[in-house]
Amino acid sequence: MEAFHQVYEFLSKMFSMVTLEKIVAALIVFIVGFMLAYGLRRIVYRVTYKVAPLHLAKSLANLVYYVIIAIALITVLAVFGVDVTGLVIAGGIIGIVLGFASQTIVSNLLAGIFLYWDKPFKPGDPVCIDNVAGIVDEISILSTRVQTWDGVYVRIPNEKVFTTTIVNYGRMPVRRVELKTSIAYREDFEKALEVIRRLVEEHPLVLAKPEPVIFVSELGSDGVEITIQVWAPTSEWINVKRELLWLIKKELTKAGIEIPFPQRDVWFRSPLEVRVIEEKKSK
Amino acid sequence: MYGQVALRDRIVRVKLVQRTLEFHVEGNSVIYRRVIDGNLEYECEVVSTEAMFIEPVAPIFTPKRLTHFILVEFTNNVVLPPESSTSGYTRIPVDIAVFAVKGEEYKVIDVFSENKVKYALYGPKNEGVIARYYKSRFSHEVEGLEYFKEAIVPLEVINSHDKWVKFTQVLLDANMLNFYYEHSGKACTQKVKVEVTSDSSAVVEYSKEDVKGMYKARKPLKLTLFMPSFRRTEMMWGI
Repeated sequence: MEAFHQVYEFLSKMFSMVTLEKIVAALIVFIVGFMLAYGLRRIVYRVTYKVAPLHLAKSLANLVYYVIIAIALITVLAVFGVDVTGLVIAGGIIGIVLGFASQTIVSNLLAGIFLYWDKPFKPGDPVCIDNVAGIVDEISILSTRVQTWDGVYVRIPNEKVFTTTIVNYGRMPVRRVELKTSIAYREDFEKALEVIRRLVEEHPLVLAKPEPVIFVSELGSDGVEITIQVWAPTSEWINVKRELLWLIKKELTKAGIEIPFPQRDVWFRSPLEVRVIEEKKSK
Repeated sequence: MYGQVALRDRIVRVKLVQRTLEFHVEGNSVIYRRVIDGNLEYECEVVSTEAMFIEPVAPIFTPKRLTHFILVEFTNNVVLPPESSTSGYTRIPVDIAVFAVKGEEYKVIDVFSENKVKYALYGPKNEGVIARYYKSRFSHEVEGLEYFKEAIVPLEVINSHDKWVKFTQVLLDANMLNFYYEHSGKACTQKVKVEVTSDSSAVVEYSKEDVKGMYKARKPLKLTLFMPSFRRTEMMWGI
């Protein structure tokens, strides 16, 4: 009952201060403030969307809009004679508190802006960010979303994206595919080379330029290691890698060329005793 | 043959190089089949089509659409003195498209190639472009054209540079090329002008004039709708 009485007194005091002139003045202030906010929001959006990403432009425009609306509302209260000094001080304190609380948000926001200017990747790029590999799904003002190769959705804060190593697999138009195979020492190296060279030349997605390189890379313990380095369009890199290795195996086998497997000659220091146990066959 | 397929008979077969195209008329539908060595490669049913056409198109659709550039490397080099010009021909591969047509509207129902396909990078590894790659001669007469596999490109090469230049390759934008054909399988493009501006750069321009006495091939829709239409190609990384 006491509280009700206090509210009643406050409202009575408020309404006693309200005059027609003040209502008109407040309305004018609010309408002008609203129009100003609305107009500035559009201007800020139109200017920034040309130079910044859409989400950033929208956020900036909305920020301008709400700040002006807030100023207009405070002015309206001042018109009605409400002491806004306390409100401003309270607002300042709230601002400082929020500032401390939103340090991470602000750093993510700034990182998002810097990422926009730096442009290390764009949506659709195959990337590896902080050991998360996949396709960039979305770059928002606070975070970057990556869909991993196995279909998992990962949200990485922009602050982390900005400070970590980013590998963009799709930035260059071409990528090199490196394959290794080996043939037994007794096999005809020239013949094997010819088989591989033909495969590389016939594969449509292996680029003619930069030219493919095929060479003996190691005389290994099990066989002669051959390295095949070819270039492919970045979008087809994985397909070329998959297809070519299988084709090489298939064609080398077809040509009768042995792909060796690891072999070890085991030498025993002392002679081995072999005991033969004769087993009687049961009739 | 290139051109309109006469769908009067119940089955129409068109033999190209390795492949045979079959058009089976069934009621108001046409069953289209692409066959190689007796094996079915592709099949499609087209309902209520008025006409079907087999036409040459830019060689950028098979096996995948990766680029809209064609890089022709000459098997013979052309050396030009300063402020000089020459005219000749080269050949580029073509893909073959089958169009279903009704009124003004058409739809590509199949694209394939009778050529071996190869791509190359034109330019440096960080900013070059992928291009359909083909080796061909620069010659002053039309020679050795393979029907259903190739098209002739009439070239005019102008050396505007004040030094001798060696012209070894040309980069063409398939979006800008128009293809023209005869029923026999002969195909060509409009005239292409190459202006050499330095010993490593040139500007390629495409004529707007149609080739007289030949049929103009349709363009697959995607090429014309979404691609910006610059009538020139800059060769910045070697000629």
